[in-house]
Amino acid sequence: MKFFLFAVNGLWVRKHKNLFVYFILTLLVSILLSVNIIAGSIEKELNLTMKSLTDIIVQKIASDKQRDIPVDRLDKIIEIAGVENVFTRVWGYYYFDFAGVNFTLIGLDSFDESYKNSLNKIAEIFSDNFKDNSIILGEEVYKLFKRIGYEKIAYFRKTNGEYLKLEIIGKFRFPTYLESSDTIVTTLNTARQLVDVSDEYATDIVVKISNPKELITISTKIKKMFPDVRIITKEDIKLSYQNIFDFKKGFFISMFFIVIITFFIIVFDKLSGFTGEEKKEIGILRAVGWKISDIIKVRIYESFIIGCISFVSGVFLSYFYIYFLKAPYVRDIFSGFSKLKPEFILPFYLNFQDLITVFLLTVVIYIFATIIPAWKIASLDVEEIIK
Amino acid sequence: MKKFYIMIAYMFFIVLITFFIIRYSYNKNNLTVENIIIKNKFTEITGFSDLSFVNEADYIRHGSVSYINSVFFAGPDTGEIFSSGFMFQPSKSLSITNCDIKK
Repeated sequence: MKFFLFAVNGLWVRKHKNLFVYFILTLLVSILLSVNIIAGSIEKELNLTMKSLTDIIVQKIASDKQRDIPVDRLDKIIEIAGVENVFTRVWGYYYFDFAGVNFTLIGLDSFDESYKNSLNKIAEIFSDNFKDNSIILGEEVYKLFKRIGYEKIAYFRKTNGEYLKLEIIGKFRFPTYLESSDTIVTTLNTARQLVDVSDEYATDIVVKISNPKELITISTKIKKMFPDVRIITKEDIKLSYQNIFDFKKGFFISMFFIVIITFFIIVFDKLSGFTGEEKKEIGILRAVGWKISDIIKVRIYESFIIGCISFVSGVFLSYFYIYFLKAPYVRDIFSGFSKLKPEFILPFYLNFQDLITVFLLTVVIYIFATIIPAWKIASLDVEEIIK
Repeated sequence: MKKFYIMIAYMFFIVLITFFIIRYSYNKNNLTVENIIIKNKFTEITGFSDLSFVNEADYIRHGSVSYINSVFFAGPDTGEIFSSGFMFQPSKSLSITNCDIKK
Protein backbone atom coordinates (compact mmCIF):
# COMPACT_ATOMS: atom_id res chain seq x y z
CA MET A 1 0.00 0.00 0.00
CA LYS A 2 2.88 2.35 0.86
CA PHE A 3 4.35 1.91 -2.62
CA PHE A 4 0.95 2.28 -4.24
CA LEU A 5 0.31 5.61 -2.49
CA PHE A 6 3.76 6.74 -3.45
CA ALA A 7 3.01 5.86 -7.10
CA VAL A 8 -0.27 7.82 -6.99
CA ASN A 9 1.59 10.78 -5.58
CA GLY A 10 4.24 10.45 -8.28
CA LEU A 11 1.54 10.51 -10.99
CA TRP A 12 0.21 13.74 -9.52
CA VAL A 13 3.63 15.37 -9.42
CA ARG A 14 4.29 14.63 -13.14
CA LYS A 15 0.70 15.24 -14.19
CA HIS A 16 1.36 16.98 -17.53
CA LYS A 17 3.55 14.19 -18.83
CA ASN A 18 1.16 11.49 -17.57
CA LEU A 19 -1.89 13.22 -19.02
CA PHE A 20 -0.19 13.24 -22.43
CA VAL A 21 0.50 9.49 -22.19
CA TYR A 22 -3.09 8.90 -20.97
CA PHE A 23 -4.66 10.63 -23.98
CA ILE A 24 -2.41 8.98 -26.54
CA LEU A 25 -2.88 5.52 -25.03
CA THR A 26 -6.69 5.99 -24.84
CA LEU A 27 -6.77 7.00 -28.50
CA LEU A 28 -4.67 3.99 -29.51
CA VAL A 29 -6.87 1.54 -27.59
CA SER A 30 -10.07 3.03 -28.99
CA ILE A 31 -8.89 2.99 -32.63
CA LEU A 32 -7.63 -0.60 -32.42
CA LEU A 33 -10.78 -1.75 -30.69
CA SER A 34 -13.13 0.16 -33.02
CA VAL A 35 -11.67 -1.57 -36.08
CA ASN A 36 -12.10 -4.98 -34.43
CA ILE A 37 -15.65 -4.25 -33.27
CA ILE A 38 -16.85 -2.95 -36.65
CA ALA A 39 -15.34 -5.88 -38.59
CA GLY A 40 -16.64 -8.37 -36.00
CA SER A 41 -20.05 -6.79 -36.04
CA ILE A 42 -20.48 -7.04 -39.84
CA GLU A 43 -19.13 -10.60 -39.76
CA LYS A 44 -21.64 -11.45 -37.04
CA GLU A 45 -24.42 -10.09 -39.22
CA LEU A 46 -23.29 -12.30 -42.10
CA ASN A 47 -22.80 -15.42 -40.03
CA LEU A 48 -26.31 -15.11 -38.61
CA THR A 49 -27.77 -16.06 -41.97
CA MET A 50 -25.04 -18.48 -43.07
CA LYS A 51 -26.83 -21.52 -41.69
CA SER A 52 -29.87 -20.80 -43.86
CA LEU A 53 -27.86 -20.83 -47.07
CA THR A 54 -28.27 -23.75 -49.42
CA ASP A 55 -25.51 -26.35 -49.22
CA ILE A 56 -24.38 -26.43 -52.86
CA ILE A 57 -24.79 -24.01 -55.78
CA VAL A 58 -24.18 -25.46 -59.26
CA GLN A 59 -23.37 -22.98 -62.02
CA LYS A 60 -22.55 -23.71 -65.65
CA ILE A 61 -19.32 -22.14 -66.85
CA ALA A 62 -18.30 -21.77 -70.49
CA SER A 63 -15.33 -19.75 -71.71
CA ASP A 64 -14.91 -18.63 -68.12
CA LYS A 65 -18.30 -16.99 -67.93
CA GLN A 66 -21.38 -18.11 -66.14
CA ARG A 67 -24.03 -19.38 -68.56
CA ASP A 68 -27.62 -20.52 -68.10
CA ILE A 69 -27.87 -24.11 -66.96
CA PRO A 70 -30.32 -26.62 -68.58
CA VAL A 71 -33.19 -27.45 -66.23
CA ASP A 72 -33.11 -31.19 -67.14
CA ARG A 73 -29.88 -31.59 -65.15
CA LEU A 74 -32.09 -31.38 -62.08
CA ASP A 75 -33.35 -34.94 -62.64
CA LYS A 76 -29.83 -36.38 -62.70
CA ILE A 77 -28.68 -34.50 -59.61
CA ILE A 78 -31.69 -35.60 -57.54
CA GLU A 79 -30.75 -39.25 -58.20
CA ILE A 80 -27.43 -38.85 -56.35
CA ALA A 81 -27.61 -40.58 -52.97
CA GLY A 82 -27.69 -38.09 -50.09
CA VAL A 83 -29.35 -35.28 -52.03
CA GLU A 84 -32.45 -34.11 -50.17
CA ASN A 85 -33.80 -31.49 -52.53
CA VAL A 86 -32.83 -29.74 -55.76
CA PHE A 87 -34.35 -26.65 -57.33
CA THR A 88 -33.52 -24.11 -59.98
CA ARG A 89 -33.08 -20.41 -59.50
CA VAL A 90 -33.66 -17.60 -61.93
CA TRP A 91 -31.93 -14.40 -60.93
CA GLY A 92 -29.76 -11.68 -62.36
CA TYR A 93 -28.70 -8.11 -62.11
CA TYR A 94 -30.74 -5.27 -63.53
CA TYR A 95 -28.75 -2.16 -64.34
CA PHE A 96 -30.81 0.90 -63.53
CA ASP A 97 -29.01 3.60 -65.49
CA PHE A 98 -30.99 6.46 -63.96
CA ALA A 99 -29.21 5.91 -60.63
CA GLY A 100 -26.20 3.97 -61.95
CA VAL A 101 -26.82 0.96 -59.73
CA ASN A 102 -27.40 -2.77 -60.17
CA PHE A 103 -30.47 -4.29 -58.55
CA THR A 104 -30.47 -7.97 -57.70
CA LEU A 105 -33.50 -9.44 -59.42
CA ILE A 106 -34.79 -12.73 -57.99
CA GLY A 107 -37.58 -14.88 -59.40
CA LEU A 108 -39.71 -16.99 -57.06
CA ASP A 109 -42.35 -19.55 -57.92
CA SER A 110 -45.68 -17.74 -57.44
CA PHE A 111 -47.60 -21.03 -57.21
CA ASP A 112 -45.59 -22.29 -54.27
CA GLU A 113 -47.67 -21.58 -51.15
CA SER A 114 -44.68 -21.86 -48.82
CA TYR A 115 -43.00 -18.94 -50.63
CA LYS A 116 -46.14 -16.87 -50.25
CA ASN A 117 -46.27 -17.55 -46.51
CA SER A 118 -42.58 -16.78 -46.11
CA LEU A 119 -42.89 -13.56 -48.10
CA ASN A 120 -45.68 -12.41 -45.82
CA LYS A 121 -43.36 -12.88 -42.85
CA ILE A 122 -40.37 -11.01 -44.28
CA ALA A 123 -42.13 -8.27 -46.26
CA GLU A 124 -44.86 -5.71 -45.82
CA ILE A 125 -47.29 -6.67 -48.55
CA PHE A 126 -49.58 -3.82 -49.60
CA SER A 127 -51.77 -5.88 -51.88
CA ASP A 128 -51.94 -9.60 -51.25
CA ASN A 129 -51.48 -10.59 -54.86
CA PHE A 130 -48.09 -12.10 -55.69
CA LYS A 131 -48.69 -12.81 -59.36
CA ASP A 132 -46.88 -12.20 -62.64
CA ASN A 133 -45.74 -8.61 -63.25
CA SER A 134 -45.70 -7.76 -59.55
CA ILE A 135 -42.60 -6.91 -57.52
CA ILE A 136 -41.51 -6.68 -53.89
CA LEU A 137 -38.73 -4.17 -53.27
CA GLY A 138 -35.81 -3.81 -50.91
CA GLU A 139 -35.85 -0.71 -48.71
CA GLU A 140 -33.30 1.33 -50.69
CA VAL A 141 -34.90 0.45 -54.04
CA TYR A 142 -38.28 1.43 -52.61
CA LYS A 143 -36.92 4.80 -51.47
CA LEU A 144 -35.26 5.40 -54.83
CA PHE A 145 -38.41 4.50 -56.78
CA LYS A 146 -40.50 6.75 -54.57
CA ARG A 147 -38.14 9.64 -55.29
CA ILE A 148 -38.56 9.23 -59.05
CA GLY A 149 -42.32 8.73 -58.95
CA TYR A 150 -42.50 4.93 -59.20
CA GLU A 151 -44.90 4.65 -56.24
CA LYS A 152 -47.24 1.91 -57.41
CA ILE A 153 -46.05 1.10 -60.90
CA ALA A 154 -42.50 0.70 -62.18
CA TYR A 155 -41.24 0.22 -65.73
CA PHE A 156 -38.46 -2.24 -66.47
CA ARG A 157 -36.67 -2.65 -69.77
CA LYS A 158 -36.48 -6.14 -71.25
CA THR A 159 -33.46 -7.30 -73.24
CA ASN A 160 -35.34 -6.74 -76.54
CA GLY A 161 -35.85 -3.09 -75.65
CA GLU A 162 -39.53 -3.35 -74.77
CA TYR A 163 -40.75 -2.07 -71.42
CA LEU A 164 -42.55 -4.15 -68.84
CA LYS A 165 -45.07 -2.53 -66.51
CA LEU A 166 -44.71 -3.96 -62.99
CA GLU A 167 -46.91 -3.41 -59.96
CA ILE A 168 -45.15 -2.67 -56.66
CA ILE A 169 -46.93 -4.85 -54.12
CA GLY A 170 -44.64 -4.64 -51.11
CA LYS A 171 -41.29 -3.95 -49.51
CA PHE A 172 -39.02 -5.94 -47.26
CA ARG A 173 -39.14 -5.46 -43.55
CA PHE A 174 -36.45 -3.60 -41.62
CA PRO A 175 -34.58 -6.62 -40.15
CA THR A 176 -33.56 -7.81 -43.63
CA TYR A 177 -32.16 -4.40 -44.48
CA LEU A 178 -28.57 -5.41 -45.20
CA GLU A 179 -29.44 -8.52 -47.20
CA SER A 180 -32.37 -7.13 -49.14
CA SER A 181 -31.80 -3.43 -49.61
CA ASP A 182 -30.99 -3.67 -53.36
CA THR A 183 -33.17 -6.69 -54.04
CA ILE A 184 -36.28 -6.94 -56.21
CA VAL A 185 -38.29 -10.12 -55.86
CA THR A 186 -40.73 -11.06 -58.58
CA THR A 187 -42.35 -14.18 -60.00
CA LEU A 188 -40.39 -16.75 -61.95
CA ASN A 189 -42.07 -15.83 -65.25
CA THR A 190 -41.41 -12.12 -64.88
CA ALA A 191 -37.81 -12.76 -63.85
CA ARG A 192 -37.35 -14.97 -66.95
CA GLN A 193 -38.52 -12.10 -69.15
CA LEU A 194 -36.31 -9.52 -67.49
CA VAL A 195 -33.08 -11.56 -67.36
CA ASP A 196 -33.84 -13.33 -70.65
CA VAL A 197 -33.78 -16.95 -69.52
CA SER A 198 -36.01 -19.39 -71.40
CA ASP A 199 -38.15 -22.10 -69.74
CA GLU A 200 -35.61 -24.87 -70.49
CA TYR A 201 -32.88 -23.03 -68.64
CA ALA A 202 -32.21 -21.53 -65.22
CA THR A 203 -29.50 -19.24 -63.80
CA ASP A 204 -28.20 -21.91 -61.46
CA ILE A 205 -29.17 -25.02 -59.55
CA VAL A 206 -29.31 -25.22 -55.80
CA VAL A 207 -28.80 -28.51 -53.97
CA LYS A 208 -29.82 -29.32 -50.40
CA ILE A 209 -28.18 -32.36 -48.80
CA SER A 210 -29.18 -34.51 -45.84
CA ASN A 211 -25.79 -35.05 -44.21
CA PRO A 212 -23.25 -32.17 -44.13
CA LYS A 213 -20.41 -34.70 -43.97
CA GLU A 214 -21.28 -35.83 -47.49
CA LEU A 215 -20.85 -32.36 -48.95
CA ILE A 216 -17.51 -32.99 -50.67
CA THR A 217 -18.56 -36.44 -51.97
CA ILE A 218 -21.78 -35.10 -53.49
CA SER A 219 -19.99 -32.03 -54.92
CA THR A 220 -17.41 -34.31 -56.54
CA LYS A 221 -20.12 -36.52 -58.02
CA ILE A 222 -21.90 -33.50 -59.54
CA LYS A 223 -18.62 -32.20 -60.91
CA LYS A 224 -17.86 -35.59 -62.45
CA MET A 225 -21.36 -35.83 -63.91
CA PHE A 226 -21.20 -32.34 -65.44
CA PRO A 227 -17.60 -31.25 -66.11
CA ASP A 228 -18.70 -27.78 -67.28
CA VAL A 229 -20.02 -26.67 -63.89
CA ARG A 230 -18.49 -24.96 -60.92
CA ILE A 231 -19.59 -25.92 -57.45
CA ILE A 232 -19.88 -23.38 -54.68
CA THR A 233 -20.45 -24.79 -51.23
CA LYS A 234 -21.76 -23.06 -48.13
CA GLU A 235 -18.29 -23.40 -46.61
CA ASP A 236 -16.70 -21.65 -49.63
CA ILE A 237 -18.97 -18.67 -49.19
CA LYS A 238 -18.18 -18.51 -45.49
CA LEU A 239 -14.44 -18.69 -46.15
CA SER A 240 -14.51 -16.03 -48.81
CA TYR A 241 -16.29 -13.62 -46.50
CA GLN A 242 -13.82 -14.43 -43.75
CA ASN A 243 -11.02 -13.62 -46.22
CA ILE A 244 -12.41 -10.26 -47.19
CA PHE A 245 -12.91 -9.11 -43.60
CA ASP A 246 -9.56 -10.45 -42.41
CA PHE A 247 -7.93 -8.69 -45.32
CA LYS A 248 -9.60 -5.37 -44.65
CA LYS A 249 -8.93 -5.59 -40.91
CA GLY A 250 -5.31 -6.60 -41.56
CA PHE A 251 -4.85 -3.83 -44.12
CA PHE A 252 -6.11 -1.21 -41.70
CA ILE A 253 -4.12 -2.53 -38.75
CA SER A 254 -0.91 -2.83 -40.79
CA MET A 255 -1.25 0.84 -41.72
CA PHE A 256 -2.03 1.66 -38.13
CA PHE A 257 1.00 -0.38 -37.00
CA ILE A 258 3.27 2.47 -38.10
CA VAL A 259 1.36 4.78 -35.75
CA ILE A 260 1.72 2.27 -32.89
CA ILE A 261 5.48 2.01 -33.41
CA THR A 262 5.77 5.81 -33.54
CA PHE A 263 3.83 6.04 -30.29
CA PHE A 264 6.16 3.63 -28.53
CA ILE A 265 9.23 5.43 -29.83
CA ILE A 266 7.84 8.71 -28.45
CA VAL A 267 6.88 7.14 -25.11
CA PHE A 268 10.17 5.32 -24.78
CA ASP A 269 12.10 8.43 -25.69
CA LYS A 270 10.13 10.59 -23.28
CA LEU A 271 10.44 8.17 -20.40
CA SER A 272 14.02 7.11 -20.91
CA GLY A 273 15.14 10.70 -21.03
CA PHE A 274 14.51 11.20 -17.31
CA THR A 275 14.60 14.77 -16.20
CA GLY A 276 17.23 15.78 -13.64
CA GLU A 277 14.52 15.98 -11.00
CA GLU A 278 13.33 12.44 -11.63
CA LYS A 279 16.88 11.11 -11.60
CA LYS A 280 17.46 12.99 -8.34
CA GLU A 281 14.31 11.44 -6.89
CA ILE A 282 15.49 7.91 -7.72
CA GLY A 283 18.93 8.74 -6.32
CA ILE A 284 17.49 10.01 -3.03
CA LEU A 285 15.22 6.98 -2.72
CA ARG A 286 18.19 4.69 -3.26
CA ALA A 287 20.19 6.73 -0.74
CA VAL A 288 17.54 6.42 1.96
CA GLY A 289 17.58 2.66 1.58
CA TRP A 290 15.07 1.77 -1.18
CA LYS A 291 16.01 -1.31 -3.14
CA ILE A 292 16.04 -1.43 -6.97
CA SER A 293 13.03 -3.75 -6.81
CA ASP A 294 11.11 -1.14 -4.74
CA ILE A 295 11.73 1.57 -7.34
CA ILE A 296 10.65 -0.79 -10.14
CA LYS A 297 7.57 -1.71 -8.11
CA VAL A 298 6.57 1.98 -7.90
CA ARG A 299 7.12 2.37 -11.66
CA ILE A 300 4.98 -0.70 -12.36
CA TYR A 301 2.17 0.70 -10.20
CA GLU A 302 2.37 4.06 -11.96
CA SER A 303 2.29 2.63 -15.47
CA PHE A 304 -0.34 0.05 -14.52
CA ILE A 305 -2.67 2.77 -13.19
CA ILE A 306 -2.25 4.90 -16.34
CA GLY A 307 -2.49 1.82 -18.60
CA CYS A 308 -5.67 0.50 -16.98
CA ILE A 309 -7.46 3.86 -16.89
CA SER A 310 -6.47 4.45 -20.52
CA PHE A 311 -7.67 0.99 -21.51
CA VAL A 312 -11.09 1.39 -19.87
CA SER A 313 -11.40 4.90 -21.32
CA GLY A 314 -10.46 3.49 -24.74
CA VAL A 315 -13.19 0.83 -24.45
CA PHE A 316 -15.69 3.54 -23.50
CA LEU A 317 -14.60 5.74 -26.41
CA SER A 318 -14.81 2.95 -28.99
CA TYR A 319 -18.32 1.83 -27.96
CA PHE A 320 -19.44 5.46 -27.79
CA TYR A 321 -18.00 6.08 -31.27
CA ILE A 322 -19.50 2.96 -32.84
CA TYR A 323 -22.91 2.63 -31.22
CA PHE A 324 -23.69 6.20 -30.20
CA LEU A 325 -22.08 8.18 -33.03
CA LYS A 326 -22.67 5.27 -35.48
CA ALA A 327 -18.98 4.98 -36.45
CA PRO A 328 -18.59 7.67 -39.09
CA TYR A 329 -15.72 7.14 -41.61
CA VAL A 330 -14.30 3.90 -40.18
CA ARG A 331 -17.35 1.80 -41.03
CA ASP A 332 -17.06 2.94 -44.66
CA ILE A 333 -13.71 1.15 -44.81
CA PHE A 334 -15.50 -2.14 -44.19
CA SER A 335 -18.74 -1.54 -46.01
CA GLY A 336 -17.38 0.27 -49.08
CA PHE A 337 -18.93 3.14 -50.95
CA SER A 338 -22.13 2.81 -52.90
CA LYS A 339 -25.00 4.97 -54.07
CA LEU A 340 -27.60 2.57 -52.71
CA LYS A 341 -25.81 1.69 -49.51
CA PRO A 342 -28.27 0.90 -46.74
CA GLU A 343 -28.16 2.91 -43.53
CA PHE A 344 -27.54 -0.22 -41.52
CA ILE A 345 -27.26 -0.65 -37.78
CA LEU A 346 -24.17 -2.48 -36.59
CA PRO A 347 -25.26 -5.33 -34.32
CA PHE A 348 -23.79 -5.39 -30.82
CA TYR A 349 -20.43 -7.16 -30.68
CA LEU A 350 -18.24 -7.90 -27.66
CA ASN A 351 -15.34 -10.32 -27.91
CA PHE A 352 -13.06 -10.84 -24.90
CA GLN A 353 -10.32 -12.20 -27.13
CA ASP A 354 -10.16 -8.84 -28.94
CA LEU A 355 -10.10 -6.98 -25.62
CA ILE A 356 -7.21 -9.12 -24.34
CA THR A 357 -5.26 -8.69 -27.60
CA VAL A 358 -5.64 -4.90 -27.51
CA PHE A 359 -4.71 -4.88 -23.80
CA LEU A 360 -1.53 -6.85 -24.51
CA LEU A 361 -0.67 -4.71 -27.53
CA THR A 362 -0.96 -1.42 -25.71
CA VAL A 363 -0.96 -1.53 -21.90
CA VAL A 364 1.49 -4.40 -21.35
CA ILE A 365 4.00 -3.02 -23.87
CA TYR A 366 3.65 0.41 -22.28
CA ILE A 367 4.40 -1.03 -18.81
CA PHE A 368 7.58 -2.66 -20.16
CA ALA A 369 8.56 0.56 -21.91
CA THR A 370 8.48 2.41 -18.57
CA ILE A 371 10.18 -0.21 -16.39
CA ILE A 372 13.35 -0.60 -18.46
CA PRO A 373 14.62 3.02 -18.19
CA ALA A 374 13.74 3.14 -14.47
CA TRP A 375 15.67 -0.07 -13.88
CA LYS A 376 18.63 1.30 -15.87
CA ILE A 377 18.88 4.42 -13.68
CA ALA A 378 18.14 2.66 -10.39
CA SER A 379 20.87 0.10 -10.99
CA LEU A 380 23.52 2.83 -11.30
CA ASP A 381 25.63 3.90 -8.32
CA VAL A 382 23.76 6.33 -5.98
CA GLU A 383 26.52 8.90 -6.12
CA GLU A 384 26.55 8.81 -9.90
CA ILE A 385 22.77 9.34 -10.11
CA ILE A 386 22.73 12.35 -7.77
CA LYS A 387 25.68 13.94 -9.61
CA MET B 1 -4.59 10.20 0.79
CA LYS B 2 -6.80 12.84 -0.87
CA LYS B 3 -5.08 12.27 -4.23
CA PHE B 4 -5.59 8.55 -3.81
CA TYR B 5 -9.35 8.99 -3.28
CA ILE B 6 -9.63 11.33 -6.28
CA MET B 7 -7.85 8.71 -8.40
CA ILE B 8 -10.15 5.93 -7.16
CA ALA B 9 -13.24 8.09 -7.80
CA TYR B 10 -12.08 8.83 -11.35
CA MET B 11 -11.40 5.14 -12.02
CA PHE B 12 -14.83 4.23 -10.65
CA PHE B 13 -16.45 6.88 -12.84
CA ILE B 14 -14.70 5.63 -16.00
CA VAL B 15 -15.64 2.00 -15.30
CA LEU B 16 -19.24 3.02 -14.60
CA ILE B 17 -19.73 5.02 -17.81
CA THR B 18 -18.04 2.24 -19.81
CA PHE B 19 -20.47 -0.25 -18.33
CA PHE B 20 -23.38 2.05 -19.20
CA ILE B 21 -22.27 2.60 -22.80
CA ILE B 22 -21.85 -1.17 -23.32
CA ARG B 23 -25.29 -1.76 -21.82
CA TYR B 24 -26.76 0.99 -24.01
CA SER B 25 -25.11 -0.48 -27.14
CA TYR B 26 -26.42 -3.94 -26.27
CA ASN B 27 -29.99 -2.74 -25.72
CA LYS B 28 -30.09 -0.52 -28.78
CA ASN B 29 -28.26 -2.64 -31.32
CA ASN B 30 -28.71 -6.26 -30.36
CA LEU B 31 -30.76 -8.23 -32.86
CA THR B 32 -33.86 -9.82 -31.41
CA VAL B 33 -34.68 -13.48 -32.00
CA GLU B 34 -37.53 -12.40 -34.25
CA ASN B 35 -35.19 -10.26 -36.38
CA ILE B 36 -32.77 -13.17 -36.76
CA ILE B 37 -35.61 -15.48 -37.82
CA ILE B 38 -36.79 -12.95 -40.44
CA LYS B 39 -33.24 -12.52 -41.76
CA ASN B 40 -32.78 -16.28 -42.05
CA LYS B 41 -36.12 -16.65 -43.78
CA PHE B 42 -35.01 -14.16 -46.43
CA THR B 43 -31.74 -16.04 -47.03
CA GLU B 44 -33.62 -19.33 -47.09
CA ILE B 45 -36.09 -18.34 -49.80
CA THR B 46 -33.74 -16.29 -51.97
CA GLY B 47 -30.52 -18.25 -51.37
CA PHE B 48 -28.52 -15.03 -51.17
CA SER B 49 -26.17 -14.24 -48.33
CA ASP B 50 -24.54 -11.27 -50.01
CA LEU B 51 -24.84 -8.04 -48.06
CA SER B 52 -25.94 -5.27 -50.38
CA PHE B 53 -23.01 -2.97 -49.80
CA VAL B 54 -21.85 -2.62 -53.40
CA ASN B 55 -24.43 -2.08 -56.14
CA GLU B 56 -22.52 -0.25 -58.83
CA ALA B 57 -20.40 -3.10 -60.14
CA ASP B 58 -21.78 -6.62 -59.91
CA TYR B 59 -18.39 -8.26 -60.41
CA ILE B 60 -17.07 -7.00 -57.09
CA ARG B 61 -19.87 -8.71 -55.26
CA HIS B 62 -19.63 -12.11 -53.73
CA GLY B 63 -18.11 -14.88 -55.88
CA SER B 64 -21.19 -17.09 -55.77
CA VAL B 65 -23.47 -14.36 -57.08
CA SER B 66 -20.94 -12.83 -59.39
CA TYR B 67 -18.47 -13.78 -62.11
CA ILE B 68 -15.27 -15.70 -61.83
CA ASN B 69 -12.16 -14.23 -63.47
CA SER B 70 -13.58 -10.78 -62.99
CA VAL B 71 -10.52 -9.14 -64.54
CA PHE B 72 -11.35 -10.62 -67.94
CA PHE B 73 -14.94 -9.63 -67.54
CA ALA B 74 -13.95 -6.00 -67.32
CA GLY B 75 -11.27 -6.33 -70.00
CA PRO B 76 -8.19 -8.54 -70.46
CA ASP B 77 -5.71 -5.77 -69.66
CA THR B 78 -7.56 -4.45 -66.62
CA GLY B 79 -5.84 -4.64 -63.29
CA GLU B 80 -7.59 -6.39 -60.42
CA ILE B 81 -10.11 -4.08 -58.78
CA PHE B 82 -9.49 -3.64 -55.09
CA SER B 83 -11.04 -6.24 -52.86
CA SER B 84 -12.66 -8.34 -55.61
CA GLY B 85 -9.61 -10.60 -55.82
CA PHE B 86 -10.01 -11.47 -52.18
CA MET B 87 -13.66 -12.35 -52.35
CA PHE B 88 -13.59 -15.56 -54.30
CA GLN B 89 -12.19 -18.68 -52.69
CA PRO B 90 -11.95 -21.60 -55.16
CA SER B 91 -14.31 -24.39 -54.32
CA LYS B 92 -12.79 -27.43 -52.64
CA SER B 93 -14.59 -29.71 -55.03
CA LEU B 94 -13.07 -27.92 -58.03
CA SER B 95 -9.59 -28.83 -56.93
CA ILE B 96 -10.39 -32.51 -56.50
CA THR B 97 -8.89 -34.48 -59.35
CA ASN B 98 -10.04 -37.80 -60.77
CA CYS B 99 -7.29 -39.51 -58.73
CA ASP B 100 -8.92 -38.31 -55.54
CA ILE B 101 -12.29 -39.62 -56.66
CA LYS B 102 -10.89 -43.13 -57.24
CA LYS B 103 -9.38 -43.19 -53.72
